Amino acid sequence: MKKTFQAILVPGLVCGAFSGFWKADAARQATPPVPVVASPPLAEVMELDAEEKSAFFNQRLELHCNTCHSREMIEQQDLTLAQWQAEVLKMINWGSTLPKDYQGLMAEHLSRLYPKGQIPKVGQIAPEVALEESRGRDLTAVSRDEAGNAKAAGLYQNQCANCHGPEGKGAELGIRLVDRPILTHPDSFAEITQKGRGIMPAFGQNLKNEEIDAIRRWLLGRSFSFQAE
Amino acid sequence: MPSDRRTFVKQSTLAGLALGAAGVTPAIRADEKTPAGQKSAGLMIRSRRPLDLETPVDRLDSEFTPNEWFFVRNHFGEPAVNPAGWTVTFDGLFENQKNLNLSEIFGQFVRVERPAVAMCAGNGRALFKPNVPGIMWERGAVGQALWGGIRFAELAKAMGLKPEAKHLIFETGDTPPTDKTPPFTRSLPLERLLQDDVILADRMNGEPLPLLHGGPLRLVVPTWTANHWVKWIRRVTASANESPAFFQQTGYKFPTEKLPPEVAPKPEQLKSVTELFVKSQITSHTSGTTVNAGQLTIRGLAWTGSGTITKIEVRTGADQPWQPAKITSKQVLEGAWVRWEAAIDLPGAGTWQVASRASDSKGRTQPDEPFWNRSGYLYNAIDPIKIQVI
Repeated sequence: MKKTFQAILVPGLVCGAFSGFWKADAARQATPPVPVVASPPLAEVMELDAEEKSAFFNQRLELHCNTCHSREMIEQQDLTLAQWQAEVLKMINWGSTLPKDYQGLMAEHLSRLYPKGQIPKVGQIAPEVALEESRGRDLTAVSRDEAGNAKAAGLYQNQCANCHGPEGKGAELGIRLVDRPILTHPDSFAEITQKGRGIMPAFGQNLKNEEIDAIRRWLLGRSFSFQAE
Repeated sequence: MPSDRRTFVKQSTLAGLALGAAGVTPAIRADEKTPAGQKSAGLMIRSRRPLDLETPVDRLDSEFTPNEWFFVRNHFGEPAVNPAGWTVTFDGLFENQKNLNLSEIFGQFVRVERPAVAMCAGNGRALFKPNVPGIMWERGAVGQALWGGIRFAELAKAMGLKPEAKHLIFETGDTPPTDKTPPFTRSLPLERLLQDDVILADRMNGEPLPLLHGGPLRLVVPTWTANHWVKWIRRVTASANESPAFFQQTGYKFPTEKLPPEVAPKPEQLKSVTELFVKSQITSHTSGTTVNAGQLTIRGLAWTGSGTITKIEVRTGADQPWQPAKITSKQVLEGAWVRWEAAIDLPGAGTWQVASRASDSKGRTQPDEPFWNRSGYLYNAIDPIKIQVI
């Protein structure tokens, strides 16, 4: 089964290679990389042996689930197969990009994956860090620079709008950005944009750090309480 | 498939997995065992994104839970908030359909302060057997703060309620990641909202309401589970009916009577979780503490829904008699917790199963067995800790 296994892991990334086409405008933007959306047919996945299937669905957890919630949300559950089936279906109905025909195998994978009968150990967060998080940060960093904003809007439309929608409110493949917590966490926003996450490809080759931050501030300026001011 | 593609695919896979941790994640350290005699050094991370944090029980050992130790629970992460631009829209069956900014909301009514227990409906979910899905809260999705703001009823009345209005629907700023994900929209009956104890809060323990706790404004609904304490309120719609939204009609429901795990409740057998159940816990010692033989003073907390705590008892084992504990809070106030203490005798070496049990003015007492339900709400069974005597 090794041949099949290697062949079907993340074929979409191959399509994500940069085209090398550079625009002549001031921003000199490459064509945006393509998200990881290709999924092998269920019949091929079913042919994988147990170990391969486990690796395949572990990767699918990262691709399709980690976009909206981190892994602890799944790891702490200790559920029966029927309970997992209900949870996976709920997440697909709530917009997960996991292909619907994978739901049964994903539920089986999850019901096997985590140890039974114990509450998993959890990490800790220092109270001063929790307090800093809790007070919020960088909330006044909306750019008032109209020329800068126009450029950021152009970059956004060129690089991000295909997946995240023309107004940053999300679309089929990309989650909503406007109003979301990521906008007040510049480091995380930059890291995810540069390196990618889940089905989102890396944009580190396409966008400079200051461009990424300009896009973030432009999106922040389109968020509810920043528009009204 | 060409072999170069396979290699590429494998490399991509590894890179993809390594990046999985990126996200809105503050500094986190691995779980460390708290040294004997010291209190827990951090909040327990139930989820990094959205950030859901549990207070270790030993950090609940006070009248008020400090803001930095207060549990954090949200479905979609805190919104990006600019208080200067925040407005709340009042519409539906309000006479005055307006957008108000924060100074218009908080500037025109008498300010009030009130201690109240905020408890997640799922506090204790991890203790249910058989297991249920959800955040695996153990004992610390609860806290008490001094909440400051205005009486919600005064604002609602000033906005003019039409006679047919029976519920208010609250829309919040924590927008979900996709259009298919239901937003956290809740409604509360006006009958409850217009009571004197409900606060629209902008302060917590003397500080501006922190972002993670709903800043710039949230509801405080003493005696009701914290899913009603709606955070980041953006819109209030007066309506003749409950909200039709998922988190009102499907979420936060449990059966009217206890059903076996294999029986799926019918819709008519479900009701919304509202009032807290009577509950107590020991906060002076954590399970596994080692002490010398003799007398030991233990402390803890107790709270309930409507009514007040009237009695706390403690025992040192399932076969030992209950003995009374003393309520040490100066004031016993509906919606607030009481602190209590008791001297217990642990005469010999071994493991003692030390437990507390609370009763309230409505005649309710903590049960031996929890009210098992499929979503794991309102665990309140007697919950012993192990004390090792050497």
